[in-house]
Amino acid sequence: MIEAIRRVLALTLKELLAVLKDPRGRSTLFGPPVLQCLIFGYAATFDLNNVPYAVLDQDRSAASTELLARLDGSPAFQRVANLTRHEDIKNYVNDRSALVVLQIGQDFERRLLAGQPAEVQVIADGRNSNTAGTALGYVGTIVEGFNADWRRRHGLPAASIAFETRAWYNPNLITRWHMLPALIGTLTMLQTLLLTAMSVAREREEGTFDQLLVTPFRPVEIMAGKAIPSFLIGTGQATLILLVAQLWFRIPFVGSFVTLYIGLSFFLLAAVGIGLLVSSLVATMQQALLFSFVLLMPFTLLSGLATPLSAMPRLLQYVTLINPLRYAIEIAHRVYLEGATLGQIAGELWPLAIIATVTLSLASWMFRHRLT
Amino acid sequence: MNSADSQEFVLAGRDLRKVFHRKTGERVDALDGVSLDVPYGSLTAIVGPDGAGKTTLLRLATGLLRPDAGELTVLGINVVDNPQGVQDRVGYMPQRFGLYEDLSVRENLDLYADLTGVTLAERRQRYPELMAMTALAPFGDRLAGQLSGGMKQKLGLACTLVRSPDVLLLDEPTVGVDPLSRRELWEIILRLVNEQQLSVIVSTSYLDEADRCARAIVLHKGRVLADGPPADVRELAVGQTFIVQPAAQQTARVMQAQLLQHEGVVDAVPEGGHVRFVLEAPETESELEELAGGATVTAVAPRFEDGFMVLLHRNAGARPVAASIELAHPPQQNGNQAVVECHDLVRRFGAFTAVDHVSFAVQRGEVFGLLGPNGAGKTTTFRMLCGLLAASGGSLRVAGVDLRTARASARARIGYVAQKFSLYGQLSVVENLDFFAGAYGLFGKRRSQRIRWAIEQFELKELERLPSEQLPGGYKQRLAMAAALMHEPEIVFLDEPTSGVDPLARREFWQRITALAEQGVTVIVTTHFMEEAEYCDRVVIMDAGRVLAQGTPAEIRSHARSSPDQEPNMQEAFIAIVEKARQAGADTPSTSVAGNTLPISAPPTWLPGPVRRVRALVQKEARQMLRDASSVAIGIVLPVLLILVFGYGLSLDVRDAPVAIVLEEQSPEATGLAGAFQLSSYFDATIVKTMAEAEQLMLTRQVDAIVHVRANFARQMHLGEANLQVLVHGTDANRARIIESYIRGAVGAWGAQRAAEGRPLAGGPVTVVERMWFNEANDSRYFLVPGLIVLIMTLIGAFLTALVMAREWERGTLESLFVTPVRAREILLSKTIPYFVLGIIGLALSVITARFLFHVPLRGSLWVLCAASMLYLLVALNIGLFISSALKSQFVAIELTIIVTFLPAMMLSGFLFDLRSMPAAVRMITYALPARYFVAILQSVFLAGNVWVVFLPSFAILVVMALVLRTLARLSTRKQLA
Repeated sequence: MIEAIRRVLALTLKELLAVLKDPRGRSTLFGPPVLQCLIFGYAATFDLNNVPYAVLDQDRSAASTELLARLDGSPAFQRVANLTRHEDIKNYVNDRSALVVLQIGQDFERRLLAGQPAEVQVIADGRNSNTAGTALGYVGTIVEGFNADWRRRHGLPAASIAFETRAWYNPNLITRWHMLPALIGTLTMLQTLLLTAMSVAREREEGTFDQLLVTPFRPVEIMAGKAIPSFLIGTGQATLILLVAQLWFRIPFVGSFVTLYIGLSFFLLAAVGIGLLVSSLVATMQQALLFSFVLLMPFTLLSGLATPLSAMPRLLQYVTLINPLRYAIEIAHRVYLEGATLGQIAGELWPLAIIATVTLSLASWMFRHRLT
Repeated sequence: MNSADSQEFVLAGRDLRKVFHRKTGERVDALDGVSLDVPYGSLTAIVGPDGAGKTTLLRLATGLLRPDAGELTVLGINVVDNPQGVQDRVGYMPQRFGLYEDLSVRENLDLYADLTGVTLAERRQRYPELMAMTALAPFGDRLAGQLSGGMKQKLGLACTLVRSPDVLLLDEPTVGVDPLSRRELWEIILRLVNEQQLSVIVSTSYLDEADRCARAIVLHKGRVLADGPPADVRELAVGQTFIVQPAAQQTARVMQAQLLQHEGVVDAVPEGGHVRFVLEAPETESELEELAGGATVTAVAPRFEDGFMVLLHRNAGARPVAASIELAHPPQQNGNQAVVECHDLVRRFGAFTAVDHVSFAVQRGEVFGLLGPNGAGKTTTFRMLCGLLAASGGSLRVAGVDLRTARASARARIGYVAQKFSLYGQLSVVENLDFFAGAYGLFGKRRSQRIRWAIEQFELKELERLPSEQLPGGYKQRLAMAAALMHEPEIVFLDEPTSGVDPLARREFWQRITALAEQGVTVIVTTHFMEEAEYCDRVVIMDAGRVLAQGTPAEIRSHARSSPDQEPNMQEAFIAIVEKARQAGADTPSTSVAGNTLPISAPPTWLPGPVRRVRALVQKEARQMLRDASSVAIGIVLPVLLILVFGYGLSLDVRDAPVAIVLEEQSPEATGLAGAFQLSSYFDATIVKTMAEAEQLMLTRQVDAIVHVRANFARQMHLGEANLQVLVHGTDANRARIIESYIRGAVGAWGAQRAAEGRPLAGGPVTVVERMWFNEANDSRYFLVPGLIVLIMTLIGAFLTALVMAREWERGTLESLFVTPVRAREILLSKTIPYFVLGIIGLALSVITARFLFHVPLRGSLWVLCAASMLYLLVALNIGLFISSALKSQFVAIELTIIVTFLPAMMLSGFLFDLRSMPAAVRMITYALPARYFVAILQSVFLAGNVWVVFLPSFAILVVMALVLRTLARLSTRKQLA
């Protein structure tokens, strides 16, 4: 037993040395995750600002001017044109100069003063309907503010139903708060899976695998020696991303680090298990690369990272049950933003444990049966 | 040098210099002022130990490297100015010929014939000749990757010789090739020289081959030591070369070791039971007798090798040192029992029998040689003995067990050195030793002792920090041996350990082997140097998987004796035995007769050269693509998967959002409001009584939002001051925002309905009438599915091509491809075409599914869609090719491709996230990304129609990008080695 541990230790050290000594390997380990963190943190946001809008104000009254001033005063909107003709709307929307066009009819103020409801037409470019929907929501909020003020100033009764809205865990509903904790799992999975799958394939391609097999290493020890370095490097990367989220983006961490790392280690075991399984199936580095990628794509898309799991069809939701990333993202969110305890994430831990057990035992079975 | 000179010589070099720098900073003068003139129509050998500069010289001559100083003309062409001019006319075989392992033997040969424009008539003549030489015809359909090491070498040679060049440059063509094939190869070379007056320059480490040449150039450490007929070199050892018969109780090995102890002995090797030795200078008879310890000494005529050793000694002070090895714990010698035994060993690969009922036994402390032509089954036998391969039949015992089934710890009793150097290239000498010490479970003091032992015994001290891949050949071989001996095994397996190793290093190696055997270690070794069989106690000769002869070297030689007075040397004996067996059993083994030609297909000679070459390369690329399951996975499976996931799975739309409605009163107003939620298709409403219940539901994520209707809701509503509390689960901010606005919408709609029914409700006064153009149904699939086309085009375009150039660099297939008439732009073009076609298939697939399966409207022109997609595909292909040829490493290329193409296509293209809302710095970056412009075109052409104001600028930018990237890819693909 002690002998086996020594051998595994030797292999682990060799793997770490090989990865860390290679300057290219080093830079791919820690450069891309940080870079991706920054890109995702800044770019992957559904929050809007600087939305270009145009206005066709046929009323040109004090009331319409006031409404537009409210839009201009909001950081979310930026007026790009004052249209005069109805046909212009089409041009501005078509060539994407304006995401939103407001059309205010010529009896706008007259109707308001007469106590009648006045309409504002809001046209949104629906080529990205999610963005358009968000922009429309923003317009709605601004108009509501205008209404409240108008009613107060003109002695009308307040709206019969007012909303007091509060968002839990993410009071300002910032997409980045959702995105960055999710990256802890996503980016780590990408690297861990690739690294593990490649390390065995590289030995096969370079002929060093045979050299390993004539030493007293047992297949399970080789697996352990390959799994441990990837696990450690994965933990390092996760920590790096965690640091970027907290120190650079200043997203408050409300949970317990111990809980998070326990969750992560279950996840990393599952990711390493999948990597080893891939490596036991492929013959070359190229195959390892491409097969890992073929797995990573659906894992990422069906993880809840970009689109919510609950919006998927029921059948596909069942498919996501075997996706370790789904659980990792859930754990990261719940611990990071919601402060979940170990007991509360147990429901995510046991599926990960099952995935890890299944993939690791399959991989070790494949290892023993594919030594040709 | 005047032009008349260069006209006269096929290769003329003046004062050539080339310096390399090791990663550790040392400077290596590969060529240090070399001048040489090689006349037309001659056969010239370049010989010299490792690091002499042989390969560098040949690479300069082919234009693959540029000299740092000096002038070099080949065929009268200045290589530096016009490398392509030279490459059009030379035939070049690099040390490691770049065979495509996923193409068959015939496909490899046809590829090179097509690239060099070999006509049908030439093929009809050349193919049978090449097949006779290589005996590869029966393996015509086998993939090159499945050939044995020696057979690959032969195929490389065949690919080089398929054309009729003006000059032939061969870099150690016979490394790893068996004596029979070597003989046939030399027959072809000599015939080419004699009949066609072809000029041939060949570098070699088989010194007997130099004797066949008209001229021999001896290089040492980048300088020319001798240049002239081989006889000049032979002369140097005249009167200094002797043969001595060892005493009865002494083996030739031991005698040799004794002789080498003397300073004056420049060389000593066992030969035919005697020892041949060379002295530094002629000696008197008495001195000779003293040297030989009284044995009979006979003077003999020197060979090239003898003169070479004298030359090296005089000029560089080099001589085989009395290398030895001392084991700290030699294996216990208890009698002469067999430690390796195999009986009727069989191994089949499909219908092919690689090892056919092989039986032999090796005694403890023996040096046992396994000899045989390429593909005889030597390596397969080795792999079975070492437990790397299961036997199909028969029994085997190594150190008393079958390593395949024995406990892993039993493997600690053997050491194994593979045919190919297989230690960790990036790790230094010490790190490699340290790892293998650990692998054998050594630790603490013993571990450091063993590492020190290895470094001392193998004299690795000065290079111990160097990454092992940068070691000179001889040192690599020492390190491999050292690693295999870390744990002091009883039995050592060495598979062609001296292949490609220079003569000095080979002698040193064999001294260590004999020292090991003296101390009781059993050594099993394969080799293609037949003279090395003389070092063995016993040898087995195999062919086509069978044992042909077995015995001591003397017994083997006697097998082949044709007349009693003539003793054949080992090589002659070997050839005789194999040929006799082949003639006798011509009908049995699967390797012979089965068909001695390859089918020859007519080349499309009517096509102009560039088109013909591109056609051949495209064919090759397409074959590789189709044979590789992983390309098919990325090119076909992944797009289909993505289409389904995007079309069915991904959605940003909120339907059936779980909401808790807290009803603290049961007024008609409150229940009416709750009813509105329950009826809405946007919500899946659960009604609870208390806030605490609702919060519990939200904490466990069973609901995404809570609508809190307080106890006095109805009364307050009539007063016009009702408050609804809304709590949303904010972790997924986007979804939270959508749900929140839907809640407002639902409440608003309920209010409007009440107003319509005449119940007072002061809404407004301003109401918003929303209109979503282009996507009235507000279906997120409308923009996700077109966005998918961007991802698929990126995937096929950049991803697969990022691997293709890097793969050729990594596998070393470009060196041979470069020295053909192929232009760099033709290589690039041929890598573009197959992936472009694959991309178009992916495009068709996505457009058809988008339109007919997911019913995304296509409001613009299909032609615009196709044109834009092809243009973007070209941009992506060129990004991949540029990255790939600039980085030359698959792993790094793919990492970079993900970062510069795939992530941006997903995140920074405007496909999912709004570009205008990004920070200015990020927005700036997006302008440099092709995906941005493609997404703009796609979203418009699908949903808005033909919006030329969007199309035209985007098209223009994509065209510019494609051109710039093409140029970059072209510039980074230079036909030169780094």
